[in-house]
Amino acid sequence: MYKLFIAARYLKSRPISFVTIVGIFLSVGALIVVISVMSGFLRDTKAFIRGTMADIVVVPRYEMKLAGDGEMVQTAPRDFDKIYRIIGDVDGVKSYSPRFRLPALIRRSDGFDTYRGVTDLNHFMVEALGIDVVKESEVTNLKAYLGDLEDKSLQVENVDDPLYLPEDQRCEEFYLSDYPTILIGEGRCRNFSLRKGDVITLVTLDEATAEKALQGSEIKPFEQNFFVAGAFRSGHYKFDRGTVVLELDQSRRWVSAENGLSEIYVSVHDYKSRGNEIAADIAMALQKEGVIASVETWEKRNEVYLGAVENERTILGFILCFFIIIATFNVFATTSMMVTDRTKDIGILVSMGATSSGILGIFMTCGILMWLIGSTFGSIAGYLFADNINGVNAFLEKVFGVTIFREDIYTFKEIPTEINAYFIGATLLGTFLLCLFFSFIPALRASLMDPVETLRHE
Amino acid sequence: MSDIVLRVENVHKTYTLGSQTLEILKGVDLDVRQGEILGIVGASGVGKSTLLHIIGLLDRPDQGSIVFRGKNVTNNSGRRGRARIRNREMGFVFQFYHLLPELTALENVLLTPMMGSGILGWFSLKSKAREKAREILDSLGLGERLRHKPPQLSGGERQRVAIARALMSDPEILLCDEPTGNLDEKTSATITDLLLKINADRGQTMILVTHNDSLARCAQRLIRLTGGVLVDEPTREARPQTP
Repeated sequence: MYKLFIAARYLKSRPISFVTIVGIFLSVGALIVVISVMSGFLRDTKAFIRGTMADIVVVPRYEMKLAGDGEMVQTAPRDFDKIYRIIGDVDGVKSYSPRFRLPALIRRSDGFDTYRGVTDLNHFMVEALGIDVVKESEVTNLKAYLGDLEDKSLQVENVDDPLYLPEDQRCEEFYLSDYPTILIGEGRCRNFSLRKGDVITLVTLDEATAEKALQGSEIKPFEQNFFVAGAFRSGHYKFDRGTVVLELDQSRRWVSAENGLSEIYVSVHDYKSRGNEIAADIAMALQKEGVIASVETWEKRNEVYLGAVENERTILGFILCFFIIIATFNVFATTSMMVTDRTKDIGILVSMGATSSGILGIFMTCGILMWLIGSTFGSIAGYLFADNINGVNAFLEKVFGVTIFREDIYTFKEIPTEINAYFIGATLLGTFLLCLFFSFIPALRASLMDPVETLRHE
Repeated sequence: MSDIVLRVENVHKTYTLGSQTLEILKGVDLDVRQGEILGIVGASGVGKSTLLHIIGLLDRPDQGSIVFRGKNVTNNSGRRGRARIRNREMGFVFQFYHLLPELTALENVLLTPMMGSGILGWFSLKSKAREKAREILDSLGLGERLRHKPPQLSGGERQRVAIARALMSDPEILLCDEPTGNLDEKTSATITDLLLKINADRGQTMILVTHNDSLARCAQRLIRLTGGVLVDEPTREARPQTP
């Protein structure tokens, strides 16, 4: 009891100990806030990527066939129905959806362009994605993205048939045209001032035309007008700004590629525990039938990007751990100063019946108390800050006019956070062990002092 | 008066200062009897405080032993055992008071029982201990100074708090190391009277190490430490009688 009592009085009588406590408070709080925000970013990024992708992506590369002379030769895959059948027969596959991707340039057909004069082609580059609307909804979150718009006037007429545009909603200028329809990301619509029923023009090249262009031949790109049937918003910046969605058959007709296929999205039952296994089964089944394909899970396909976000979180955590080490090192400095200041007290306490372990306990209790106060308040403050970070952001914006979080850059509606109780526990435990270690060294010095010498100390 | 509370047997103590070895105590033998005031006098640096520290189990002799209530506590009690004896059976009063400046007078006194009990034990003991500490401080004329911290007290008051702290555990022996050495003449006389009163009222055994003649005259038995050994001083006629 006396250890706690004396330690508390020692701390109370020394303002320097409050500096140490504030250091622990700030470093623990900062670590919790930063890791919570980074975890939130990682979680939401994963969710966004996940929403635009299926569980497994199959890209058929080539097919091995027996030639007339008995030799095995590689050919481009042609029999896609066979590939769909093989995939559909694999145990655990729920559904699949073929997709056809084309790089394209986009512009408004009426010539009015908010980007007129801009020479950077990136403003006009998109990926035209041909999908089977019904099947796509079974493998990705397309349906959800069609309803999650900020500008409700851009919402499609029918989410089950999103490419349908009633005739009365077509722009007057092209009212009688029979252009196909297209879906565009909400952000892109905003940039190009597009409304439902407006007409846009896409220009693309197919593989053969592109090759001709590379050889220096004169080429004629494929050009097609589309009515804007509505917009989507996934929250994933790259997808929303860089993708336009059209009907699979329409995309094939556009470039005269009847069997055009870029990839097959596959959704499976129980992805979490069987995803990798099913992907391997699909690859094996295709190979058995002579089809060589790249088969990857969505995580594998985005490994580098997700790994970068996760790595950023780890680096920030690592840097902040140094702050914690510096803050807890103050425990060493403060406790050492206490031992030096209170050398005479050691002799007094021993004369009153304290043992050397009791003296050790007093100064270690000082370190533990500094940890307890600093880290308890630090973790509470960190938790509250992370939990209300958007309120804090709004407040700072209102009071100081400082924009901390730019929604247009991240395409998150608000700062995402994920507060992990396990992580807070690990932070508290780590800080505790550091404080214990840093207070142990001076406490040990105190406990080894000769009480007779300390009584003589001036 | 004839019961021996503590016996010092052939105690030797040597200090090494650089290349020099100083034998401070050369086979000291001493009996301390129940209820007596034993005075130890001697020149500065002769080893009086060292002997007191060895008797109080703060220091260990190079050779010889301290026998407390018939038990050799130098070699057989262990660290915890010796700490327990210091806490419950011995009370120290130092020249420079040695109070903890962060604590009030009352808290300084309460520290002794607090050190002798665990957390749960202390909560059951706390109210009784507070009452006892108040009584002792009140009897020493500090009833109005309970909440004052040492820097707010005079030298005499601080020494009375130190005496109260030493008496808190009802110790078998009170070990006083120059208790008036840092006080003016008038305050020294007050403290001397106080120690005599404690001895008379409680039958408190005391060992006084002092330079102060008037305090030395209080001792019922006076011993001089010289050349590392103890020599009995002749009885002084001028020595006042204990009340």
